[in-house]
Amino acid sequence: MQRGIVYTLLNKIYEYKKISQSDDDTRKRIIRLQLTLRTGLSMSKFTISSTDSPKELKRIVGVLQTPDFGLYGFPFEEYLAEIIIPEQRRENGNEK
Amino acid sequence: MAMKNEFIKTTSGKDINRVVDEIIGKDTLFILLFYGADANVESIYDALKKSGKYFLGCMDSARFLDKQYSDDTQNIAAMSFSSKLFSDYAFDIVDVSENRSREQIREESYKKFYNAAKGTSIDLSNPEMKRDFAINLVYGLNSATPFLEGQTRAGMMLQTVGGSSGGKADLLVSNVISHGGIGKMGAFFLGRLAEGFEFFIDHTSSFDRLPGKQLVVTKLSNHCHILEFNNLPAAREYASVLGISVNNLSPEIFATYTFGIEPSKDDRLITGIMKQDEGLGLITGNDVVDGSVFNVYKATDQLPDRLSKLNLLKNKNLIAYISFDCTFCYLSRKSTCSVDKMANLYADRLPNVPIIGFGTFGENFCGANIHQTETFIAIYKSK
Repeated sequence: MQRGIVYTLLNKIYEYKKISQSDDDTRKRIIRLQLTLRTGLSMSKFTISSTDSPKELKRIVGVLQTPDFGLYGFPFEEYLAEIIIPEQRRENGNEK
Repeated sequence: MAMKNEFIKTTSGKDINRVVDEIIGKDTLFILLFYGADANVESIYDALKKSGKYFLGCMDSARFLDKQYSDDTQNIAAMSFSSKLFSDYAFDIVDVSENRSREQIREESYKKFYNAAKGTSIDLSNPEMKRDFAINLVYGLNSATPFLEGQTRAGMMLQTVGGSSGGKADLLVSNVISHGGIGKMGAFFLGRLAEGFEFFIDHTSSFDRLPGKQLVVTKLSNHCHILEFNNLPAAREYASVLGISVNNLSPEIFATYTFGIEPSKDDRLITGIMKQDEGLGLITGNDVVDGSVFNVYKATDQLPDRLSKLNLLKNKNLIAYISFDCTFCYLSRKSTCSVDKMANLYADRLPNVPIIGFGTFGENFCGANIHQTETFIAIYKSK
């Protein structure tokens, strides 16, 4: 999987939600807090260069897709492909 | 001891009628109060009802008023807020008693919060981040999580702060009161500050992370009952990462070594361990998600962390500070004889600022129900 994919995903979500005003740090903080709370994963560990686990990415995407986050229309499929393709390869016995 | 400025008044005492007389002015909008487990809650409720003002309060194990802590079980501490401080507001209560399912609580909380906001100019989907907030007081002998989840569903970006009620150490009796009733409920104030005022909400906990130690929740009995960490019995694995025998686990160990997760660097959501079950499971004070990857922490001196948070407020023209401070933190300060040191720290950093707070059985911050933490809101003049 691409390095720092969770970090990239979070930045795309901030952009998508147009979090760029003066109070953006508070809004970003709330998103990270809610993600941490609901996944049980420390968002602090996902950095620009971290090697993220597909299982954890799937959990994060699952939480982000809940209505509370209001991310209707966000292209989650781009990120899910990072999880699903390796999974399919594994199922087909093709993963190298 | 009493303090006041143009917008806020505080006082304390055992006679609720005197407290009410001292605290209410002609422009008082609402009263926030905390009382000990032996205070007569019916008399408090009646006196406040007679005043005709909105109010919100709860039983606690200790309280903080104007730089002094008190664990007198008959004492009442109160703060009143002028209507000049708010341009819009709403109050409501949610039944959180044991006979209700978590889904029922979540649903009622969602509807009440959503409807409360609808009657105001507050847009829960896009709140004014420096003026819109909610204060929650929640019955402390149940988990506050479904109540908070309902609010988050109604508006994730609305900043909320508060605490869960307490009482005596036997954990048998606790209650919340408001002009809407007394009992096992969650009560909230939702408000927009008037032009010229802003707020700052944050939380502080004092722990050092133990490097290389992790506890992954691999089996839960329910949301507050961990059966296994790392596929091993929870209490044994917890003791093992601390390098002690499971037979040596005690309330002091639970208060000193706990676990949590981190939204970002220096931002920690602390889970409180209440006790060991009859076997090798652990009961927590707040909800835990299956698969949580917990860091392990050791409690440290609270003073430096509080000081660094108070320093963030030093250039602000503060008019009120409201603290929701974990009972464990207070007990820890008591055991290290640092209660007065902490009180003096607030006195030194927030001179002439009215302060109220209480010893909570769970603190809440932007939808998170956490432990061994102080959550707080500071209101200040922006102009």
